[in-house]
Amino acid sequence: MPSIEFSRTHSYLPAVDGISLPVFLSDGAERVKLLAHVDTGASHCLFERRHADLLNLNVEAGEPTAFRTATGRVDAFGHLVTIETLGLNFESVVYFFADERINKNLLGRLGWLDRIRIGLIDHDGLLYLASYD
Amino acid sequence: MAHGQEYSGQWVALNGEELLSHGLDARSVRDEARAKGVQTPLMVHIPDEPGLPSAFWV
Repeated sequence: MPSIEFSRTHSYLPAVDGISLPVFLSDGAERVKLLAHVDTGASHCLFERRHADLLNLNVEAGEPTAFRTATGRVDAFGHLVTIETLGLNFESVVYFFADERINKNLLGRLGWLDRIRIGLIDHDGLLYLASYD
Repeated sequence: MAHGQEYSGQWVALNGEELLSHGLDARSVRDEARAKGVQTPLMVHIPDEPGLPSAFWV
């Protein structure tokens, strides 16, 4: 039977909207803290535009990318930032929604899930994390 | 967040369980939290209808 070891444990509220954890994004001198949801259906990490503004990023100067969603296409811009979750940090290209009305923060596969090992016991609201190394 | 309905549509800045500031403009809310001594508050945008379940994926 295979086993996996984790270095971090996070307790979230079971039965509440999604599986969320605190995230720090930083670029240069600025740093923001937000709550993001683990989203295995998201190809990339996507965040609210206002967080880019708080990091003093020029959103439109990033890599323009369109994403498919359940309700159609949404536009976003990619920026290289440092992303930290539960003390694990690495540089990743993450995307900020062009539309400031979209208030979702998603930890997706490229740039986050592909950098870590993750375990879930949703019944107990427990998330386990370790870096992928 | 407890009392989410009170702040629907607003940004809130939190330090643990403590609500530091709230309002419609994220930068003002963050700056007010910083003025209270918290350099990196947790910034959360409360949905317009926080009680609804989420289908997610944008």
